[in-house]
Amino acid sequence: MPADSMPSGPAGTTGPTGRGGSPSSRPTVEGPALAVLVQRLTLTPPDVLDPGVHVPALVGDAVDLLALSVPGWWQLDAHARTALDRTCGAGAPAASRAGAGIACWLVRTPELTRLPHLREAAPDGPAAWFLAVVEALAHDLAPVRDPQTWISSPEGREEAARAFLRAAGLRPAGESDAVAEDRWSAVSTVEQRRVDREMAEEVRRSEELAKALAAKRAAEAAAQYANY
Amino acid sequence: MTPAPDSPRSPDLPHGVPDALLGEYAPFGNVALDDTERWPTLTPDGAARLDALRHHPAAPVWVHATGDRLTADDLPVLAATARRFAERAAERERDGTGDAGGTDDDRTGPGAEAGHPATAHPVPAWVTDLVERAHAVVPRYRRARDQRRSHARSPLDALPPVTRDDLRADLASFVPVDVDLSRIIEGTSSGSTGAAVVVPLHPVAVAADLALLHLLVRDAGATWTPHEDRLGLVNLVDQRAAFTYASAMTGFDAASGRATSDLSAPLMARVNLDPGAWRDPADRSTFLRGTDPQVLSSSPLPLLALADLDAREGLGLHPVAVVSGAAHLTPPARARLRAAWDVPVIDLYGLRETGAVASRADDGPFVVAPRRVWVEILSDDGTPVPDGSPGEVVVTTDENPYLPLLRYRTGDRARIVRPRGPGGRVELHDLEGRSPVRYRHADGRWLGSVDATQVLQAAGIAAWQLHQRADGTIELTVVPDAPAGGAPSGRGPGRAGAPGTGAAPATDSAARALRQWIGRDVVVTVTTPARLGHGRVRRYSSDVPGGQA
Repeated sequence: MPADSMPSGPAGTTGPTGRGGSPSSRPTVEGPALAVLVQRLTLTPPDVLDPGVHVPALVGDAVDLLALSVPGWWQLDAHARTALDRTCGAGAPAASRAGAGIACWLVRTPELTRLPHLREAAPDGPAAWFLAVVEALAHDLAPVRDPQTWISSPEGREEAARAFLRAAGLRPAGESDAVAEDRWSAVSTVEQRRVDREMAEEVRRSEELAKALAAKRAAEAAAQYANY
Repeated sequence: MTPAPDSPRSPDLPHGVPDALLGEYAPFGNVALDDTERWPTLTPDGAARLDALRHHPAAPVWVHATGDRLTADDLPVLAATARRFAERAAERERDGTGDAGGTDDDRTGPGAEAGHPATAHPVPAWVTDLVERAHAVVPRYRRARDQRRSHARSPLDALPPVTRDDLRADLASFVPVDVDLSRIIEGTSSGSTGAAVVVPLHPVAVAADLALLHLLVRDAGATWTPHEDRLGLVNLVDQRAAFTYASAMTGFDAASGRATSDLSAPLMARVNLDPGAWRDPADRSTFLRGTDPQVLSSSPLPLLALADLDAREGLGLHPVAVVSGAAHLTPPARARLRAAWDVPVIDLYGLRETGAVASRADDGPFVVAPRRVWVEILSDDGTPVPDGSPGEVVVTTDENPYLPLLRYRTGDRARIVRPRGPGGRVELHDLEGRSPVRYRHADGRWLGSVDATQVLQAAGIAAWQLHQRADGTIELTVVPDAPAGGAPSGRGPGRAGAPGTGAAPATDSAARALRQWIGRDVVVTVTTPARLGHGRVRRYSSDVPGGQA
């Protein structure tokens, strides 16, 4: 029974939550056109994906660039840099490091660094912003979609570009928040898997319910006290 | 609590019972459990009393065996539910003026919207919580979320209403994916038209009806204490075929909010007045007289038949309260029942799908029950109507873990009157079941059934069925307001008094008034409660094209 006691508890949250709330629940700032980032991905230098590349150095370069380009932007503190070293450094999985490398590549997109209101997209500060972007690509997307495909396939490029913008608190130029969300849902591997998983769960439950109701013990029902 | 030892797998059939006595209700065709599964907390003493009831010398033919299925773990949950109902009811009375107050349950949630500007009534927190929860775990609403039609923070009135057909078409889409299905029991609901719909129920949700009855009986000023020699409750029907059974109410104390009483698990029975349900014609009266049930829970026509039977055969019933549901209880019918037993008569409105929605202990408006039930009144196209205007009763409820419902269309109509603030009574006025029917005057005008209601009630008719044939002729079938003199129940012995005593003038005046109203001939048939049909009696019907929605 709902509040008096549940036989088994309800699923906790209703959706993804993260630092500062779900990316989809905060209003976004208009970013570059999607095509710009998609194009940028096709130009990803091969050494970004090189297993031997030192990702933290890429991170450092990207951060320095932002500090120079974005008015009022300041350097990542030591804590943030350490966290990045740990998650994208030599010990991290190759896919994660590749994802982080591509994230840094995208961060350096001129149309991005020249955005007049980039700082509005980072209400929690540049460190949080940067980490969110790297997180989204290195740890959310890279495990489910090979970073090579973010460069080599149209679907991969679109998903990576949208994942990047979403994590950056930006929406593609010319799209509303609602449209951007819809299109993200349509290309997101994680989203698709969630939908597939939920539908499989529902099919299973439907069968379970039919079986439970068909069971004689269900048909025996229970003594009724009132008539409706 | 030790379960009854060595219970037989199914109860013994009394001797000499012919097979296939009851049509499609194959005797014991639906039993599957043993007594310890039916009544997990029943003591040996309780089991012995139950056994004595089942083998009562005048017992009806028991067609079924079923228990309350309440485990020891269920009882505290049931008790908490009962407390919640009582607290809500108490708050409501305190805040009846509509000023500040209300329980935690009533406070408006953070996402509560004002709803339609005309109504501007914020929904209680449990409704916003339900909307949020539904979009996470109820398949139907997960799809809506994925397709951007609604989301966890959508206001209630942004969600499309739900119909019985929706339930029938895809029941699984309404059942939360995270509830344990092992306790599921099958209920059915048949509206007045169309096929039945299966309703998944939880034993605690069913037993919560008992908690509500306790509260309503208490609020009506009656005392319901278990008694060794009496049935605690009889669930009474009067129809050609029905499930009949004997059961123990192991949740009685938990449902009443009492810690324990001297007699745990008073007994109940579902009993059918139809003479065919008894081994011997005399058994019916002997059994009822002997068990003298404390609460008579039924619907208007069987209750009227029982009142007749009691008067005619001197059953000497002394109920503490009468509960009527499933069909419209008219003022004359209520008066008849009060005259018979002089105890509170509680009229209960609800659906199997939603559970109890509202009740009243007089002829006034219904009051929405102190459960998690939220009522809106909507027009046929789903838009809210201003409070006070008639429309369809649409219910949101979160009492049954297997079937929370958001904006469920009941098919019934009423006008809603809300208090000014949170807490306080919500009233349903002019509650009318099923789709309105209209009648064609001889001159071609359409007239509403409400007119007929007023005419028939003014004439003192207890129960009726009004039908217009395709050729326009009006057929009126009535149970007049007279006592048993003119209206014997069933084929029992002893028609007392001359037929038509007291009945004729009321029927004649009703027929005359209707003729005047509709400008046509009215064919009148006087009948007995037993003959007018069972279940939710359709009071109005029409074969004229355009007469029935």
